[in-house]
Amino acid sequence: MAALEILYYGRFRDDIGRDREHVDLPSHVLTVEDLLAWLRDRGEPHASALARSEDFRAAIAGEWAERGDSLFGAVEVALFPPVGVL
Amino acid sequence: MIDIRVQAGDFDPGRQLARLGELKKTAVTGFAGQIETDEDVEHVWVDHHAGLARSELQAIAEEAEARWSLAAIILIHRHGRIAPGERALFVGVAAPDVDQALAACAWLVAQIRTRAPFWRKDVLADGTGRWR
Repeated sequence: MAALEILYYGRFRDDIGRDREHVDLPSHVLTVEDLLAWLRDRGEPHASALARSEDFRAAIAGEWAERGDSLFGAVEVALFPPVGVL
Repeated sequence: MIDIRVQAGDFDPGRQLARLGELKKTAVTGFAGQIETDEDVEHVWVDHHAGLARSELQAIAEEAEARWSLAAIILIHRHGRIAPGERALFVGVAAPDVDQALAACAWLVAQIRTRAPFWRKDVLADGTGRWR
C-alpha cells in the first residue's frame, strides 16, 4: 500500500466533513480517476460528495493533474469542486 | 509586466488604476468584482488553494500578454471572510490600444471566474452555509 494525503477544498470540505485525510492506497489505485472511484466505493460521505465525476479537478503536489495522471510517487493529492466566486 | 496579489484584505481600485496610469499608456481599464448575496447571507467565505491560486492567476495573465499587446496587468483576488458589497476581485490593464485593453480586461475576468481555484460559501446568520 502507498500512503497518500488527500486535501479537500470548497464544498468537498463540508460534504466529506474534513479538509484532509490520510489514506493507504491499495495496489489497484494507480491514477486520479482510480482514486476517485476508490473513494466513492468506500461509501458515504465520499460516495455522495464525489458522485458526479465531471464536478471535480485535482492537483498532485500543488500542480494541476488530469484524471489519467499517475499517482506514482505522489504523497499529496488535492480534490476541487468547480471554481468560482463571482 | 504582471502584478498578482492573493490576499485576505480589501484593496483600493482607484490606487491600482493610478499605478497603471503612471505608465502613461493610452488605455487604462479596470474591473472590480463585488460580492452580491441574497438578503439572508451574513458574509461570504472564500476558500482557496494558495499555491495554485497564484500560479493559475499568473498563467492567465501570461496568456493575456501573449494574446494582446499590453503594458501591464494587475490581478487581485481576495480570500477568507468578505462582507456583502465588498470587493473580491480586481483586474486592471494598461495598453497602448483601447480595443486591446478592453478585450484583454474582459477576457481576464472571464478566465479568472472559471479557472482560478477559489470557492465561495455563503454563510447565514445562524452559521449555516451554502457553497456556490
